[in-house]
Amino acid sequence: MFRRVIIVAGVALWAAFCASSAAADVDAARTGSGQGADRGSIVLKAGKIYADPSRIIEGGEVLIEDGKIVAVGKEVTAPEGARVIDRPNGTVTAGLIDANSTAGFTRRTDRAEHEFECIAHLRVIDMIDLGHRAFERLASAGVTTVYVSADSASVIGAQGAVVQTGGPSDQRVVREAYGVKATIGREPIYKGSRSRTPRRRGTTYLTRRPTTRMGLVWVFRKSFHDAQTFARGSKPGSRGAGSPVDEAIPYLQAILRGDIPLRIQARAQLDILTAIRVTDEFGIPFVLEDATDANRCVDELRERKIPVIFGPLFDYPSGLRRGGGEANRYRYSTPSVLLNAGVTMALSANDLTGEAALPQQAMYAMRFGLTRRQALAAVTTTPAALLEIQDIAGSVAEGRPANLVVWSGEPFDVTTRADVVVIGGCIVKECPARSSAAGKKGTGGSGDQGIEGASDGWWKARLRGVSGDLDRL
Amino acid sequence: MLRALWRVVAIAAGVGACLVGSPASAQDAPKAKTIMIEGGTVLSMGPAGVIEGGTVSLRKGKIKSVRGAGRAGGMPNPNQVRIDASGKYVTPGLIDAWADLNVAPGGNAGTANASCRAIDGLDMFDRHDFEQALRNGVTAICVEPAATKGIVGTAALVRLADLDNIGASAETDVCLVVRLGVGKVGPFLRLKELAELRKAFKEAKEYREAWEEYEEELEAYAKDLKAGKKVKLDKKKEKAKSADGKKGKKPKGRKGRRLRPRDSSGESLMAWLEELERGNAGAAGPGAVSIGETQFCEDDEDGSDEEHATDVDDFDLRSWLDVYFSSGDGSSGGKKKDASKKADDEAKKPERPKKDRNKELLVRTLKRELAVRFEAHRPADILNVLELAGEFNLDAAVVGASGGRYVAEPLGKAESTVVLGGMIRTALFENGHYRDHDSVNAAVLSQADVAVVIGSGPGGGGNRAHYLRQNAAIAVGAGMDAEGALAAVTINAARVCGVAESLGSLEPGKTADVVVWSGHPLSSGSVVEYVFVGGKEVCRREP
Amino acid sequence: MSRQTGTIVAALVATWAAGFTPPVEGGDRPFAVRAKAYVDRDGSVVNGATLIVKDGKVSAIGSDVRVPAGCFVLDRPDATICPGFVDPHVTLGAMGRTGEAANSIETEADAAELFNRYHHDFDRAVRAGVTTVLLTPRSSHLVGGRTVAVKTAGETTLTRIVGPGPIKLSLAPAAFTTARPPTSLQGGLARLRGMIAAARADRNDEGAFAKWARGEAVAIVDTIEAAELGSLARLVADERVKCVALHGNYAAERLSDIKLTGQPVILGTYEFTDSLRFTRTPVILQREGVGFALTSNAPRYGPELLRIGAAIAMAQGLDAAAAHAALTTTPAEIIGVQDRVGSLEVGKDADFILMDGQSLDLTSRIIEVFVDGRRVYRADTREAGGTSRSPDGAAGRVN
Repeated sequence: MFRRVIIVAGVALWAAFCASSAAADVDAARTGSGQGADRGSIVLKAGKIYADPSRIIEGGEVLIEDGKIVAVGKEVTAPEGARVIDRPNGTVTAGLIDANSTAGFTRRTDRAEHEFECIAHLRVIDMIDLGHRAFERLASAGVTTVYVSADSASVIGAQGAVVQTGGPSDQRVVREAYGVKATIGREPIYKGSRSRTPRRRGTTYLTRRPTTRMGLVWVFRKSFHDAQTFARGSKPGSRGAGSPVDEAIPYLQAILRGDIPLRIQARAQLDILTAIRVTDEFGIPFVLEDATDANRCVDELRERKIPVIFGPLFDYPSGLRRGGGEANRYRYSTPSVLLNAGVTMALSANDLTGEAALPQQAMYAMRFGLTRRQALAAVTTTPAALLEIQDIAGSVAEGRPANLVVWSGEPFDVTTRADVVVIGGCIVKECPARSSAAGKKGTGGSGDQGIEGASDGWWKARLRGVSGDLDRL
Repeated sequence: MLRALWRVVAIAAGVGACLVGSPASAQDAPKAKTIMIEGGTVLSMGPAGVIEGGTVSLRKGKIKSVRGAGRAGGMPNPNQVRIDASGKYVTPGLIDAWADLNVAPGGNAGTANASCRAIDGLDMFDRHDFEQALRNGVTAICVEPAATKGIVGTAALVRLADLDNIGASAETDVCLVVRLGVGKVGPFLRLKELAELRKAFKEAKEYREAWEEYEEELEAYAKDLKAGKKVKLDKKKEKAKSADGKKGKKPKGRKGRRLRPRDSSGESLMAWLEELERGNAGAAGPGAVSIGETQFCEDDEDGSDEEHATDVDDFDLRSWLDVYFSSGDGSSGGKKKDASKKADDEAKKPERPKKDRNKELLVRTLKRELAVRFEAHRPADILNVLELAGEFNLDAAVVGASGGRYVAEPLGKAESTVVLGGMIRTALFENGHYRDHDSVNAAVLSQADVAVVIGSGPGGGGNRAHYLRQNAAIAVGAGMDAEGALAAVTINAARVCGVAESLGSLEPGKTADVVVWSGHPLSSGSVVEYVFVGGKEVCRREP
Repeated sequence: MSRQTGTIVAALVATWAAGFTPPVEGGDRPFAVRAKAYVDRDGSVVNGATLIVKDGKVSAIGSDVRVPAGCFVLDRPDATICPGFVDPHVTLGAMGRTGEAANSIETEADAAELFNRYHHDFDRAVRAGVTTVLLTPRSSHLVGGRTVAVKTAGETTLTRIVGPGPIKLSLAPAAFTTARPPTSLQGGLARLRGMIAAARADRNDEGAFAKWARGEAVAIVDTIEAAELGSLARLVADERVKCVALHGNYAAERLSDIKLTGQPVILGTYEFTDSLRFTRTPVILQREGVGFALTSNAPRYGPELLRIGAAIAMAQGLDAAAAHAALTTTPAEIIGVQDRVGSLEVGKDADFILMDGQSLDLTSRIIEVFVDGRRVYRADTREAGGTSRSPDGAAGRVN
């Protein structure tokens, strides 16, 4: 009988624990929205620290002070009153970086400016919502830095931004404007069609030109041609519908000079090859985004040393990927094919957030051939290098902003989750350690009871969490 | 046994652990203790009136006493929980008599769906809205079905006693809800709606009369049998029965039968009749017949009334009974007439009318067992409602009444109750039924001696129950007196919901739904200090 | 004849008996109002009020003010004097006509052109105690044009115009359609940046937009969704312009953005159906030290919602002083007329309301409303409004 009492008491404790962890999640979400949190000293202790993919510290510690990583090593000297987070079974990696994300776009209608084909002078940072839930979901999955890429509705789109997914609000924006995204494929044609034929109004002065891939490539070529002509000091022969507006020309010239990196979204083999061809005409280096069919152009990509931000991997294409017919020939093995061929590759989850974000992408990639180190590099150091933020993100080292994730086990394992997420020295997510005494006791006797008690606790805690959340507002 | 006890204790501990930190945890006051709310201004809304510095004591879920000051001091009693309410106001819990909080919006169910119930569409698990209502002093909410046309169903009164189990403290059929001219309805359609309503009530009336007649006739028939009048029995059948089916001729109408529950009213009578049929003329009356074993009666599956109709000659009670319990759609009427013509000295068996649940419910309203609330807004509609209510002698209340001020006089003369809705006149371009809405209604109607109730309706998905007192305040701002406005959200609301014996005022013996306010409940700056529902503290002001 | 005279005499007697005297209507001669209390600038209630009005201005106010000899005195022993409410965002009398559809940028448009002082919307605003409003262009324009602050009652159009208000911008979804450029928020912000740069380059430009671009004036910016607050904060941080967020529903959830603007927020419209998520915003802003005004967005919603909105905010825990400021001083400061309206102080306009209770209690009735020292509204003295008190002329309409 006493055994039963213990079991049931364990259930009760576990229920309470679940309630508290739910509350912790809510708290994490709060601070994740960037109101700033206390940034005292924190010591992270973990079973393993992946300082970067090539440097692993077994049983290491990380000291965080004032938002920076102060020390990394076997043992660090913690100051008085430092918060110690000890996860003997956990691992620490740098916060993950998604180099091609759409987080923060709130409206479906006006993600791109439809007035022009070429909007390189516009900035994505002007319209994204840094308080958007997608950022919270990304942060809780362990993604700490993202490149918010312009929408694919424009042939030459806006300048993207590098932002943190949480942490102190004054440090959220890492780079206000970085890179210009061009799209070669069907999406500008699809998305532009809304303004091309306004319903019942016939054709307007806003009618957009490209209705085919040929037209689209023409706009691309004409834009850079005009920019080049202006740069030479002469005027282009015509400035028709395909020409870029005056405001965009300096930015196009900067791309030609290599001051602003160009990124091209192309999925189908045809489009990737087209992208390579037209950029060759102007000698512009670029980074390939999405690249579903990259495994079919490995040689070209390797020859020209074109880095690829690949992803997402998906079970079945959804949204425009599906309708556009560009992503029907996906392969799970593409990441390993690219890496083995010597192509620089970063993984991206694009519009997927939460659990489906980068950790899962890395997990898939590992299942289909990547080693853990390769996968880790593809979501930390490689994207950091592609975004030119390698000296502030992507690895765990002294002096860098403290963007760290403590995983519950080996990173990217199926059963592993991000237990603690630190962005800019702020703990934006903290789950209680899984191997806590309460949890073990609870599962000691009869598993069924444990699960029942837990789910009930979750349910109640959720209800309370919601209303409690409102109370705190 | 002990083991089970342990389990209960441990589970309670678990639940307790989950509850830590929740607002509900403040209610740990032992139930046996008396809660004394002392020193506040008690707006009792009952015969006690307003008591300055009064004491309200609650015990065992009921109000024990409401009295003036004087007994303050005294020895500290361990069985008392004393709450200092000096400078505060104590009122009964507010009742929102017109809400659609958490009721899933539904389409139009048609004009004759009296048996739809609001309680079935209530999302009891959406605690947040209920919590907000409680935190603003609303302890009971009358929810209506969400359809907008005709007889839409019955309203439910939800007491917010236990938010984890709202259904347990809900009264399901508070009143029948009827809507007339709600929505963008043109004049002709409104007249049509009215005609349909009248038809429905008329049919219910006829139905009631038919049943009453039937019951009378049945009694007369029984009397006839008792008096020895012969029911011609079928000899052949008797033979067949006795020969144990030797001739293979089954009694008519007995094939393909199924069991179905008897309706309680007919059952005992029938049993009695059977006794009589067996020739036991001295059998006791229907009341005395044991009905314990005969829970089911047989019924025709294929409605083979035609067969009965053929053998008029060999009439027997059995087949008659079968006819009565079958559909009774008049197909056997001709035959019956023949039968009656044939033998005046033979007892005449009455025909059983068809049961109809919707009509049963309407009959309850005709008997004034169930109140009816008519939502009507245009003055003309309100007058029509009054006429209809008079015609059928209904226990009626008018809900909505956004044009009520124009017909205040007839409403007052009819001594009717009017449930007014939310007082905000939101948009400039209110159209449809709500275009006449004005917060002056409350004042004008109450001056015309109409019992005014203020709710938070009309529906539309908005959650407004927690602004009930602001609605009452707006009514005061538009000229109503404060006491009347407070009554409109307490005792009058309880009356219109049919719960005035237990709720709506602070009177000894009533359910202890009590709210303590920091100031006058109708003042903007006041906040709720305590809410007691059923004598349990469910809410306390957050520090 | 004699009968007519009799009627007139009776009427005069009746009006005199009711304290209804021509000097108050005339507004030229000084007069005094004695009441139970008045609401001070900071929202506190001062018992014993004497208000002296001269030339439509407050010439003295306080509990110990002496009424000069021969001055007409209006005795309202049960009333509280409250400054007239100020609504910083209305389209009274011009519903649906405050936006030119063809262009998204209307720098030179002026809401003063829309001012129709005869419109009955203004009467309804007066009855709700609103004496000064800001007529604003619609949210469907990136640059909607100039606003105008007007009194809700008065003699002539000119005297009723208090002055030009801030320029009105909009980052709301309604401002961006595919029918005209710009079609997106990022395009809109790029436009604004370009226009700001151009306006700064041209020192001679005295237009409202240029003044705003140079940081000399504020703009009222429609920000309905959360994302727009972020964009607004970015614009303010980059260009150092002054912007007041209008309809800052998400202000409490984007505190850092709101604080960055350094300006108060215009909140509302609040009604009973609004989610607590929004109606708690005032309490949170007060706690965080961010100023805010309330708006009724009349006539889309009734002007009464200004006071009801304050009551809704108070139900969430807002204190009376902050609620009072949100209806009077803060909106007056936002629209730049704080030296004329928003509080009862010597030298300011005599715009005030007499109420029979606390000014923020919904139970209080507005008995009389004065604008520029003239009585412009008087509630029916009968207890319940009755059908004769006909809002919007709706009385008597029976069908």
